[in-house]
Amino acid sequence: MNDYKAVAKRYCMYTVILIIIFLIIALFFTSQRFFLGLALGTAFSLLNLLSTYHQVKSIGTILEGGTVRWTFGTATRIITAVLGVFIGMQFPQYFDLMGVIIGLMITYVLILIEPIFFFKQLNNQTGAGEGNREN
Amino acid sequence: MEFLAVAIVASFAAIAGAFGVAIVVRSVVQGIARQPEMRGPIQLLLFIGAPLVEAVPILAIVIAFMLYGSL
Repeated sequence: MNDYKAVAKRYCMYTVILIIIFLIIALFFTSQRFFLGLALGTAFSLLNLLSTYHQVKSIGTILEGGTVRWTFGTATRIITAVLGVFIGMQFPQYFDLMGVIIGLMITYVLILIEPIFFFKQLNNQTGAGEGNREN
Repeated sequence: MEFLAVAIVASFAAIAGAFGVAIVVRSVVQGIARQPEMRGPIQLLLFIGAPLVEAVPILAIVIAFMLYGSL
């Protein structure tokens, strides 16, 4: 869990799985526009996640004494989100705008939810350790 | 007047995002400088914390963009 690369990989995997699920739902259900919008928003959210990963990586490289790379950081992510909404607004016949906005927030919800399971696992491990010590 | 509202929303969101991320990154740099061996967990905290700080400003800018589009 300490390795942020593994965590980033896991989040990317979850997000890609969610995109595939949304696309499959869009194929078979009547509210196609909403789920296509959701898939589009989630795809842009994945780009934001990758951008964050590269930012964290570059900060680590700089602190190690590596070369400083010029990045736009937060501006890149804001522009990506606006681009997603712009595409959603330009093609309302394909994408539902509300779906795009909810999709953009999917990665953040994942990041919020996933550590809860991790803390539960950590608490279980600590409890098991204490039990062993008592025995 | 509506354009002013859009500008205020977008600018405040940008300022809030910039300050939030700056505070997070400053703390991370200080933490790694004090304890270089804790680099992995601190970077993980940055990876989880920075998007959470950025989520609301991004949402605000998206809302500003939608307002601008509806004018």
